Amino acid sequence: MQSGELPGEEGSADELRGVGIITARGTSEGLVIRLDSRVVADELEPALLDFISSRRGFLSGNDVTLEWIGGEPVDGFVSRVSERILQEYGVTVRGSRRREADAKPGVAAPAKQVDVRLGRSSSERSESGISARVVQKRNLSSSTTSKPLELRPGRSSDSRPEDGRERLKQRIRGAPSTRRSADEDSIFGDAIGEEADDKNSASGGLFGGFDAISSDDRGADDSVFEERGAGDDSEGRDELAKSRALRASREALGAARDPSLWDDADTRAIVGTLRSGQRVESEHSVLVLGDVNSGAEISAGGDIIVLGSLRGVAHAGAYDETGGGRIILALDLQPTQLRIGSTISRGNSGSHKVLTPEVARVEGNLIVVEPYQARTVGRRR
Amino acid sequence: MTVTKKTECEVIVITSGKGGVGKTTTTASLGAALALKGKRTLVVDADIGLRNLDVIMGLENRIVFNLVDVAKGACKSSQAIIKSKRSNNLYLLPASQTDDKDVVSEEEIRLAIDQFRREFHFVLIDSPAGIEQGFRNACAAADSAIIVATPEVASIRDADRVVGLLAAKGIEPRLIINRLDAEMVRRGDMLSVEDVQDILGIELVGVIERDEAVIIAANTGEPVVYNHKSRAGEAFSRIASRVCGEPIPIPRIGETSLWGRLSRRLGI
Repeated sequence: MQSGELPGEEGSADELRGVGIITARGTSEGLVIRLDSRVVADELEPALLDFISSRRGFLSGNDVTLEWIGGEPVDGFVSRVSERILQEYGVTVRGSRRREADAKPGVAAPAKQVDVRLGRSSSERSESGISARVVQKRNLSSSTTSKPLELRPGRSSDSRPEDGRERLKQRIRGAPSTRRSADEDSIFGDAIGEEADDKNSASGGLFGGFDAISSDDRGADDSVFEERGAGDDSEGRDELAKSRALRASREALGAARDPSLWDDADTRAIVGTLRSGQRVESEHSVLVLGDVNSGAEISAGGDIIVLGSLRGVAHAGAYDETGGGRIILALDLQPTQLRIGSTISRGNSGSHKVLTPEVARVEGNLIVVEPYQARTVGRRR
Repeated sequence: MTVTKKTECEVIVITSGKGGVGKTTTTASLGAALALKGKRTLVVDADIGLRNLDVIMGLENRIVFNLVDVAKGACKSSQAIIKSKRSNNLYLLPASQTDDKDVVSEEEIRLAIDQFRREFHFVLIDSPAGIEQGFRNACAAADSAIIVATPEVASIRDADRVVGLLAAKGIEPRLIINRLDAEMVRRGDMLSVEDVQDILGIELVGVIERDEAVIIAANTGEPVVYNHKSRAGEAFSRIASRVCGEPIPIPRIGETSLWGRLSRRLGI
């Protein structure tokens, strides 16, 4: 298949021409344009210029930072390109830096794919005159993880406890905020999917929406800048799908340097007691200010902290087979079952009257429970 | 139409989740106790297909129309209710035995029950066990709820589920602990009232001790409240007072002997 012609791809070959391995991200420091430094500079320069040109309305007068993935830019490239960009489009290149390939999974893996296809496309290009190959670089973390992420309403504080409880009800039960109009609970009172409240479509229930991603990409309008392409062969697509899945799992689970291991900005706090039959699911950590009664379930990608009695089932590190170093903490730990990752432990059915807060974590292939000591719990990760 | 001097009517659903814990007995006895206090009370059997309330009240051979008839408009509401044997204040609206729980919707039940608000001080709805359509129908018209639970793990777990479901409907339920055995609690073989409260965390409106008289009363068709020698009957009377708003404290179970009470007070 000729490069540039992509099945199902919107847009003509002309549009795709000149689009290289480039994405842009908005970050806390401003706009960052990421380039794959493995792409030949001859292709990259026109691609970058096209990229900026097609967005000149937005970019003009602004600063950008060039970020090179997985390698150093060619000598003189940066200065030459910066000059041209400034002159032609009024965009200032603030700086240029390098970024490790696997630190940003969203960019790294497709770069590998690029190598495979670049070779082909170079030769093809020399025939067809079409410049760099295009690889899909959608922001995968927002759309391809297997588990749906949850919608959180934007309010961060409530003036009264009643408001907090109402908001809690909305989030957990999917009930509208007026009490009487919820004639049946949609999610909270049942296992997921049971007894869906037809009248309650507005809030979308517990699992209806998508969460912001905890990365430095949060806040960016990625969709503006995504470049899209597709493999032109099924093998390439398979690889792409595989790498996408790997990337998604890595992002969702918390790689070794994942900040949510020590500072999870997406922790979900539930104020109130979880009753039997109610279930909370989160990709991040879950904090319960109340009891978790027998028959209730918590499934968290992060840690589980119960400021009360944990009598139900708690599953921490639910999206990582190893458990990811996650813990389950409760003031009164007497669970039906504890799960961290893929390790399961039954609660001991004997009389359990230890009155200290306890922490459960994985050691080897067992779950060990020990008294909670603030100083040591973080160090184990 | 009779003109009755009426204050507001309270519709209370008696439910439990678990079956066999004493919902029907509680409905009958509580209804009888409220009637004894002079409150016009209607007890409704919402267990369509498996009706029992009529047997407990001894009115099974007086049934002509039932709740399904009223809900479907096949008869007038006044035709379906049956006056109890011993009290002019107590009426029964029986369930149908030949239908099942899916024949009526929540809306139909709610409209049917609302017709009785004018005539009664209290409407007690005996809910079926479970959490499906029967339970939902029973709760459709309710202003408040009483959950009946025995001090056993299975019953508490089911009751906990029902608390959650009712809370989602905006109903804050109260609790009756049924069949408490003081001796077993003392031995540590049975959950105590505190244990149950620890898990469920809802307002306790009464504790009823295990009493043979309840079984005898059920078989003879006379609510146990009319048996003055029964401790369970006394407990139901106290619960009726509390339901009416009187602040009667719940006696500690097991402190029956004078020595027991004395020793506790002396701190021995």
